[in-house]
Amino acid sequence: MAELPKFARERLAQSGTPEPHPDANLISAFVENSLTSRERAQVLDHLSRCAPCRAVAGMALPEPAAKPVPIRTTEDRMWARWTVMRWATLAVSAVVIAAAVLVLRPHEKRREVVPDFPMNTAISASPAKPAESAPEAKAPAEEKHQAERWDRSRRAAARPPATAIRNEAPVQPQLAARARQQVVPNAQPGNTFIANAQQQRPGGPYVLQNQAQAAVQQNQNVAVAPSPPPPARADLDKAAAAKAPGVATETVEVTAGAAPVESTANKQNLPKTAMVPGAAGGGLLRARPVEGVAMKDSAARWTISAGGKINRSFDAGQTWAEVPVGQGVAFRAVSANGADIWAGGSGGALFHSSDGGEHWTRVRPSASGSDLSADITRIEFTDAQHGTVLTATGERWTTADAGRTWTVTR
Amino acid sequence: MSGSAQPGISAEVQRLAAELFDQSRAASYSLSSAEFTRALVEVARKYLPPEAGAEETAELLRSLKVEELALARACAAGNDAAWECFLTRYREKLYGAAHSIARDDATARELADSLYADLYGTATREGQRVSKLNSYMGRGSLDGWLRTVLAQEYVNRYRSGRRLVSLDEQTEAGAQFAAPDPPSAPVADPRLGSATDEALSSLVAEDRFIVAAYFLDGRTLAEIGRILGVHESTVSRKLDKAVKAVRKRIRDGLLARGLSRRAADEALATDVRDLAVDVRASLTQETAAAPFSKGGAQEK
Repeated sequence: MAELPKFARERLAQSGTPEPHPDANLISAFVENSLTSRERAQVLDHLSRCAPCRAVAGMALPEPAAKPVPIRTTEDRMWARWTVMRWATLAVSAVVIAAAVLVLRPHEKRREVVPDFPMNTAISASPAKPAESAPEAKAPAEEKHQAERWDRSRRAAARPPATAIRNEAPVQPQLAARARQQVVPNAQPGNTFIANAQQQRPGGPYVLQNQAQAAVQQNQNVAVAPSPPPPARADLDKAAAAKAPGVATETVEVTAGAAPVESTANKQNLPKTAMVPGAAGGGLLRARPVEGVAMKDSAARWTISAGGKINRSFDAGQTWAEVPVGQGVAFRAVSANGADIWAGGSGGALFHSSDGGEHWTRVRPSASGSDLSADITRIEFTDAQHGTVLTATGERWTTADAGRTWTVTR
Repeated sequence: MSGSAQPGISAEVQRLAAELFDQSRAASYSLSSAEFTRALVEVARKYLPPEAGAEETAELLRSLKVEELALARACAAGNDAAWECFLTRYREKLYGAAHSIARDDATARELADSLYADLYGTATREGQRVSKLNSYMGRGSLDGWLRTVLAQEYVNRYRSGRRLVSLDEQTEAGAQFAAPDPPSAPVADPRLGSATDEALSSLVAEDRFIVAAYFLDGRTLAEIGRILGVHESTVSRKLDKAVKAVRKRIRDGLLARGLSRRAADEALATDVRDLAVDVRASLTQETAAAPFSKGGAQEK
């Protein structure tokens, strides 16, 4: 890293302490990222010139150890590794099958098979739609089709319907039980917190969390888009004929409330631009794979605006659109694992979407006779099942079964 | 600012007061709707410009931690149920935060006890108890505000009493403060100073903060990232970019002020204090008299 000359450091230190100093409300809100863009810029400018206020801001941060996050045990890591391998295998199989179908179709006129387009469901991160009936496959790849359909059906059965959940019994008791053992703090052997992780991995908890997120994101690079209905055969033929190098797009509507009307910039200085009309003629653009190419750049991104609104981007943050969820709720935290989205905010409002934000469900965690009602300040989901919700009152709500059941610690 | 001077703000507060009052559960602390609305008006007047419209006012009000605001105001008013709730939720956090700031038990307890007394309102003004909790405005979480107030108090005490504390004790106490006031930099060429000032003033606030926190305060990239809410790698990238930009601007500034390329490069590569030290060392060796004196800034 480049070094700043000593004389430059001294000139920097001599810049003087500007007045007035921001009060404790502004500094604490700055640290918690609760200020408006204008206020944040003002406070940041002051902090850049005022050493004592920088010291205060640093001390105002909560200790990292005060927020332990259950980490994955070896068993979880192996399970995650297997999940990655499984998805990768499915994706490769889908590509091979699609190529075989496209290549062999002109030579096999009797072939009746138009299976569910394997790439869509194979690489979808959302709960799989019920497998549509398809003509019976007669190709040598029938076993692979069947395996994929079985896998889709199994996953569809495993996932709960998008309804409000309050302490319902887990659908997969074995998985939930194992997960609960790993999540309930200090209750089960083998449960390791971030403190142990610090001993095992360099970089501390902040790096570890992002490693986990990066691992999940890497997984989701293969399975990125929520599963839309598969294209018609004519579209496939058209795509194949056109030899589209990348992806086809279509305009879809967000069904959670009114359609979004404009893109808004978030507090992270993203450009405030209108929606690019694009090939689909405007509105939301959602990329959908055609030839099974991993669409890393079209993975949705999520953020919270200064006004507490949920924003989503499909173009790597170039444009954003508000997702109308939770009327009157000021959101403060959002966590995304592919198409599995959690958002929380004021008054314990917690919403979940398993299809990339198309549909939302209000989740009302309840445990030990109490409900989550405090403002949610942070949400961390390492995968679709395991997550933690932190509140402004210091409560930690954890789930290991995608929000069906919760435990709370204070 | 009076309510009549900000009709838009007052109207919006009145419009949202009922909704926010319900969200805050202020009634459970025996805080009346009127008292709660007064608190909202106070917050709005404090943080909104006079010309703020209804939308901006609503955005601010909806971003407040209304439940904690109601709790704080109820505590300040002396409500027992509110105090019981406050103690249950925050007493342990208060002392824990004081310990993490002060790093030693005695100072932490003194700090926390002092703040606790201020929060409770041992002081009175015109017969009314004065509680520091009236200063909480609900912009951030209440425990974050408590940590910040503790930190401010600690910084004030440290800055006022640091002459009595040795450097070793400061280090052992884990104090990570701002760099102490540095001695005046013996800039050999005034053009270097002006070019440096010009280069530093061109930094945007975030870059300046990162550079100051890293080079002056000694903070790690991870700590800076936590303060700014960005990833450590982002901080690293911005820091490297900012420092390179400063060096380039200093060099360009020196060239614009008439220095040659070689002189400009030498100015950037060599610290003037190192030059002075070298000269002193050279003189000392030549005279073979007084032992070599080591240390920080050397006077010419």
